[in-house]
Amino acid sequence: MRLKAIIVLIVALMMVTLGLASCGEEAGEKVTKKIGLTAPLSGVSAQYGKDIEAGVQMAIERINEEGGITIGDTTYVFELVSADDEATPEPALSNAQRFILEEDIKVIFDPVATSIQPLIGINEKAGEEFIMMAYTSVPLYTEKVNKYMITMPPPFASYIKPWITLAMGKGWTKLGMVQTTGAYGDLWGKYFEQAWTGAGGTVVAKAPASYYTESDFTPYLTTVLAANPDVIFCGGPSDPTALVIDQARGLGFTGGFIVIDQAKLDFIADTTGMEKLEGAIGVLPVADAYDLWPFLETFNDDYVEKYGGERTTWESAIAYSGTMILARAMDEAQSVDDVEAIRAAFNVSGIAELDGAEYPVGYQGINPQTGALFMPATATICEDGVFLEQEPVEWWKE
Amino acid sequence: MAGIVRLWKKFPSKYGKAGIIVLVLALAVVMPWITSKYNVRILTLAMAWAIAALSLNLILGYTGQASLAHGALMGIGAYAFGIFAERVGLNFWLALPIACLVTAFIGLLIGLPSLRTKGPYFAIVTLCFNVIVYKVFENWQWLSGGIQGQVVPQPSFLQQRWARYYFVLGCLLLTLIVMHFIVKSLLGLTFMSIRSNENLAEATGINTFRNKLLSFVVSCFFVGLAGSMLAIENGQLDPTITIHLNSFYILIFLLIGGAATLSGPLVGAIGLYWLLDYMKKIGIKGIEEFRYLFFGLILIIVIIYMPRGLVGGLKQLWEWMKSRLKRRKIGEVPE
Amino acid sequence: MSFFFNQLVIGIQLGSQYVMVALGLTLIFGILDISHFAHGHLYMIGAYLLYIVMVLGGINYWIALIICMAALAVGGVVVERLVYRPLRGQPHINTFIAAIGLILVLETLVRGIQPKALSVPKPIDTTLQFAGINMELQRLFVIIGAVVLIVLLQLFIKRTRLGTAIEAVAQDREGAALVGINVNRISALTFAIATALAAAAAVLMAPLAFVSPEMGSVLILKAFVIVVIGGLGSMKGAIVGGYLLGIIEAMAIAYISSAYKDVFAFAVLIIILAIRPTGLFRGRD
Repeated sequence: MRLKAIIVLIVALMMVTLGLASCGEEAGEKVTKKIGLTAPLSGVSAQYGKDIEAGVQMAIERINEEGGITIGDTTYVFELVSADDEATPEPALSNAQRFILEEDIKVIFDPVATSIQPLIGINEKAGEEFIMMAYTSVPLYTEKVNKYMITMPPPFASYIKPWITLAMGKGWTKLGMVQTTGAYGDLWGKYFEQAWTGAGGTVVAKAPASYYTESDFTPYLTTVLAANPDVIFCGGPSDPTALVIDQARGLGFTGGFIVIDQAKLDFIADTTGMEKLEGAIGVLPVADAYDLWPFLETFNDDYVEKYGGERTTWESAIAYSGTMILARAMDEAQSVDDVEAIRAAFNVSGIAELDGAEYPVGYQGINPQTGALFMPATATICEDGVFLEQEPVEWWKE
Repeated sequence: MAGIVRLWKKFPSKYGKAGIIVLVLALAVVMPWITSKYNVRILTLAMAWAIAALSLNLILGYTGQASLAHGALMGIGAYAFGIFAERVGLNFWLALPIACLVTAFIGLLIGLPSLRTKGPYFAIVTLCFNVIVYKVFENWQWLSGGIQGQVVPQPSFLQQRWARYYFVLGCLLLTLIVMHFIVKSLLGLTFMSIRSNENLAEATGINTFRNKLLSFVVSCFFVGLAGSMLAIENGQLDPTITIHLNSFYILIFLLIGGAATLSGPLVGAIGLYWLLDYMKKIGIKGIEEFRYLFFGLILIIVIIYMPRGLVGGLKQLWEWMKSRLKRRKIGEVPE
Repeated sequence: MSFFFNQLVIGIQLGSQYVMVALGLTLIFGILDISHFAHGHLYMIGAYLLYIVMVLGGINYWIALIICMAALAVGGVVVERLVYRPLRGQPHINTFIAAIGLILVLETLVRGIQPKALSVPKPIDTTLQFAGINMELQRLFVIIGAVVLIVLLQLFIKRTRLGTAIEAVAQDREGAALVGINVNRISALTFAIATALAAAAAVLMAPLAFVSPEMGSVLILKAFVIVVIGGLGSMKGAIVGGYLLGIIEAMAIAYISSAYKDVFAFAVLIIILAIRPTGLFRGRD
């Protein structure tokens, strides 16, 4: 008797849920489409992943508020599903596979250079294709041809020329290198050393240090300073980079710094103060680029209101703008599922061009083969306590 | 309850054990059909980790030497497979055994100096080796493949997820069978005598150093196999596979599952790997973000209350229940 | 020549922090026979405590040093009571697993509360210059602080009744229990002293480095290496080993390769142990 009642109950429940599920598809007209993000959300690089997440999330909110994407009589709105990969490839791959297989996701954001490679190893597989929205400045990726990859930031190689011009303009020729170890820092070092010696400079000392494990850089700095460099090439995550600069000044170094794009000069200034940054060359801080792209200021205010903290980062701004282009491409392709069509729509003239008055980053197009979005690279040098904005480099024209 | 117990007793425990094995095996075989593709991937990876835990079991569980270099050795196996299959271009069936042999050889090189030390000294020396290997992979871009890592080609018959699943399952079974025969053989007894009292073993004429080395090298062979399995499933390698944290994970899987049993490493690796993955995708923000906190608490609690791991604990519980039932039957007052 | 001397001084300063952490570790190993792998994470908690007391609480640096040492000593006792005492008598490797569990709990907790790295101002921000060497004053504090603490610890162990009791337990636990020493109390005391030492190291080092949740995990590896080089349980070994590793590191960065300096330092350890399997100063088996 009781068993029968239970069976009836279960069947009834199943019917109700089935009914509800089918209702959602037909009556609603509004369909929620998921977008995936695999990024470090815990551990040493958590803040980096969370900045990317914030950018994509804010963009999705704007797209949804503006009415989503209308295809036929259905309106699509978006939802971000993010998963932690601790900046390592194995969990990143698992996350991507879960997105594709279980969440029916067609677009995945990934901001870690070492886990982008395994993901573009699987995104062309028939039946499991996805658009890879890569946040990486490694030139190898901006030059790599993958059917469905889009890269958002400018390649780091485009900073090298303006930086060297700035440094040599100061009369600096002797370079000491204390950048982070590991694949990213090594690659940066290799590119920069080649360009520096090619421009007539000399590298007087090299002492790369692991910015992820060291907490005192003095023995590295004394080694480099013993060779009397004019300028120090350094950088890794912002916090340890700030310490490197602070300790170099503590050891009596008065020359300049060249700081790789991973570190943010504005965040470094929070800890060291502007005085110690005198002569530092690097990527223009967000707050100093408002004149380039006026919307950046609005974006910054929105970010601070939503997530707190001092200011927004390039990660958030670029991820936001990249997401907006993605939405435009989907609208142009009139599809949220057809990976082939969406990727083709990126190449349609005007789609990958954003106006800096309406979006935080003014994109100027896309490389149709490699999927590299054209964002100009802007260098800066810190002089008399202010970051001087340099001419933006339109690297794709070179 | 009493009825079940009576039924169980009628059933000789030998058949019971065989029954459980057949049941688990049958479940493992049908798994790809009854679960999602994503779970197939997680299970494949978990089984690769189980092979690693089983290999550590030989040197730690049965021979009593706590190696903390197994993470590095797993990475060496994975990279060796990747390099031989991709850069050298060897056939899959040649690259796989070579990768395992390379790992065993590196294990021999590590074992020669480090097995001269004992107990905690051995653990720390092997941990140092692990840090050295990781640092070399991190800084030697030619070896690690730099920012794009080492691509691992998947042979045509392993293109499908389920194919890789069955292949890893096969390797796991092979490892289990080899381990079973080693443990049941005279060699296994020799290893265990070293574990329980090294000086006594030495006094009875056993060359303890040579036996420890043999156990370590065999163990390295299988951890190389585990690494190759991870490489095949992921199709891609980077230096973090050699990090010493992986040594800790293999150790955790083994000890929480139950060292010196054959089922313990399986339960530990598959159970905990799945648990870590599940906590990540559970969809509750607090658990996702603080999953390592919960994981840490679980480790502490299990190791305090079940010092012989989950399998050891269950066995103990079963023995205790059986002795209680027996006593009640005889009429004694249970304590 | 002045460059060599400069690196030597920095090596000694690096070694000073290693000695302070390694001394506690070797004491704990000697008394309780456990690998307290979470010691580095208690050091990390010490640095965060300093931030709370000094930066948020506005208390003078030197008073904050005392407060942090006392507070962390209590923390150490709690850890011993809750995690390690229930494990007494179990295999050595089991306490290692519990320590890893503790590491995961502490690191995740701290990062959950404060994900960003913090910096602590130096109490006196000046750079000393002598004999061609530029050195921040705080580094001198680290070197002197370590020496003072080492001397105090030696005096305590050699000259006081409680200290001799610690030494007695370290040498022979059963014997010590037989002559009426309360082993539980000695264990708690050892943990208190060891963690207070770690707190002192953290407080002295924090103004020179930045405070982050993973600062302990690198240090603990090195501290363990030192304890093993010196011989498990040997205080003399921890002191010699600590300064030795600091100097090796500083010299390896200067003269060999900065990227591979850990490889070099750890290879030296392996060579030492291959020649002397129980460390320089014959520790426990």
